[in-house]
Amino acid sequence: MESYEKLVKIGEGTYGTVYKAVNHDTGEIVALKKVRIDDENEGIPSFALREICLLKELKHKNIVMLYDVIHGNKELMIVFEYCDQDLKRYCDACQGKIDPSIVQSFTNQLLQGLAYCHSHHILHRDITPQNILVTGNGDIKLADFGLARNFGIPVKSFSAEVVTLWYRSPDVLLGATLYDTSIDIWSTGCIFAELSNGGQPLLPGKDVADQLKIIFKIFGTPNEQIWPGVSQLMKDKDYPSYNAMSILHVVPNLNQLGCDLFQLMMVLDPSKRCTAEQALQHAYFKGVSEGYT
Amino acid sequence: MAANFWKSSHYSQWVLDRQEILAGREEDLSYLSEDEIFKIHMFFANFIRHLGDLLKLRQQVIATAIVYFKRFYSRNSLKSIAPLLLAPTCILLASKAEECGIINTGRFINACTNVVKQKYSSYFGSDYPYKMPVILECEFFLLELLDCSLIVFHPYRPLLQFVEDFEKKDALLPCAWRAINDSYNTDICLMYPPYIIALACLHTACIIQSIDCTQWFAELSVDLDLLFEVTRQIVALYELLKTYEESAEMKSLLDKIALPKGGRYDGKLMK
Repeated sequence: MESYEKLVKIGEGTYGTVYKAVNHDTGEIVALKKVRIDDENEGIPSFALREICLLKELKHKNIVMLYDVIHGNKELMIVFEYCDQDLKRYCDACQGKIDPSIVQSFTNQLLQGLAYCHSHHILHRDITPQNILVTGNGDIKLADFGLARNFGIPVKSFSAEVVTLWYRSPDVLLGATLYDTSIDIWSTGCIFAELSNGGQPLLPGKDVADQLKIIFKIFGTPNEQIWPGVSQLMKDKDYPSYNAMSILHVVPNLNQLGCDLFQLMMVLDPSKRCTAEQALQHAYFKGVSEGYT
Repeated sequence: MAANFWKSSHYSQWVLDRQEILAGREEDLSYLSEDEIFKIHMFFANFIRHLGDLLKLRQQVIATAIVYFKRFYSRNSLKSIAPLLLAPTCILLASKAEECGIINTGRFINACTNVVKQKYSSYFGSDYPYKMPVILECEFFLLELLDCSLIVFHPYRPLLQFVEDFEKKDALLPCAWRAINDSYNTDICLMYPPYIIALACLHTACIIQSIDCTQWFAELSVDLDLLFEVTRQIVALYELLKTYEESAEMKSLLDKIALPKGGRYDGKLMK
C-alpha cells in the first residue's frame, strides 16, 4: 500500500475512482482503481471481483493488464497498467478530424481485443469510448470489465444508469435477455463510425424509445423478413416504419471497404452480425498499421 | 471461460504435484498424519456441500468453493485460519466469481447457523461462531492467497462430451457425475487437469457398471498411466468410505487443529 503514491485523479469507472499513481519501488506509473468496501454489506463488490478474476485470465496486448490487488482500510485498490487517456478524451482532443489510418488501426486493435475475449467465452457488454484506453503509442486497450460475463447465461437488461445507451444493440434495447458476442460487435460498429466521423457519436439517443427510433431511421425498421422473430420482440409497441438510409450519409468518410465492414457489423438481426474474427479478416484491414508507427 | 484451460491461471499456477502439496502442509504434518489431513479435508468439503445446498447453489459453485478451500490449505496450515471460518468464506467468494447473484448477508449467516445446528452441533455446538465482518476480512485473505485465480475449471463439462460416445450413457452419466462430486473429497482437483479427472470418473463408472471400455480408452491420446492413477485414487476413496466412521474420529481431529482462542487467523499468514 505504501509503495504507491497517488498523483492525480483520472476518472470515475463503472465503480470506484481511478487515479494515476507511481510505484515507488519500481518508478512505474500505474492506474489505481479505488473500490470502497462497505463491510456491512457484501464485502468485495461482485463486479470488482468479476473484473479481477476475468483480467487475471485475459492476457492480451489490447486488454488492460491487471498488476495487483491491495487491501486497504475499507477499500480495495486494483492496480492496472497505466494508459494516457480514454478514447472519448482522445476524440475530443482531435476536434472533429481523425486520420483514416488511425480509424483503421484503432478499430482493428479493438476487434483483436474483442476476438480474444470472445475466444475465452467472455462478453465485455460495456464497450464505450470511456472504457477503451489509448496509450501514448497509439495502442488500444479494452478496460472496465466490471460488467463482463461468460456467455450463455440469461441476464436482465442493462440498467440505464450503468451503461450508455448509445452503444446498446437493438436486440438488447428490444428486451432480448439472452446475449451473445454480437452485442459487443454492435458497440464496436458504433465506435468505428464515431471514429470515422471525427468523434461524433453515431446514435445519441435520449432514452430507450428514442434510441430505437434513431437506429431504425438509419438502418430501417426491422421486419420478419430481415429478422425472423423480431415481431415477438416488437409486439408491445408501435414503431414507425422507416427505410434504411444510404450508408454513404451515415459514414461519409469511410472508403468502400470500410462501409462494407461497417454494414456487416451493424446488422439488426444479431444472429447475422459478423463476428470479431470475421471482421478482422475483412479486406478493409489490409495493410493496417499498429499504433502510430 | 470454458474454452481455454491451457491458457488459464488454473493450468499455469494451480496444477500442483504431490511434493508441492506435502511441502505446503509441512507444519500440519508435524502433528497430523496424511490420512488425518485427508479426513479433515473431506469433513469440510462436506460442510461446504451442505452449506451450498442450503443456499441452493449450483453444483459448480460448490465445487469451486471446495477447490478454493483446498488451494488455501495447500499453502497454509489448518491452524492459520480456522476451517470453520474459511469454508463459508469459500462459498461466498465462489458465489461471486461464478455469477450466481448476490447472497444477502443475513441469509448467508442464517444458512451457516442452520448447517451447524442441523448437521454439526455435536462438533461445534448450536451456533455458528463467526460474524460477517470476520468472514469478509477472511474473504480478502482468501482472494490474496489465491492470487486472484478465481476461475476454476471442472470435469463436469468434459464428462458431458466424453459420455456422448457411449451407448449406455444414460446409465454411465449419473454414476460418473457422482464420481466427480466424490472426487472433491480428495486432492485430485488440485493435482490433475479436469479432462483427466473426467476420464477417470468415466472409467470408474465403467468399472462399477461392468461396462467394457478398454477399446475406447485405448484409442485416446492421453497418458493412460496418469489416467489409471486417478481412477485408482477414486476407487481407493470408495473403499475407504465403506468402513469409515467419521463421527468416531473427527472430534479428536478437530481438537488437534483448534486455535488457541476464537479461531481467527494468527498473523503468521501471508508473511
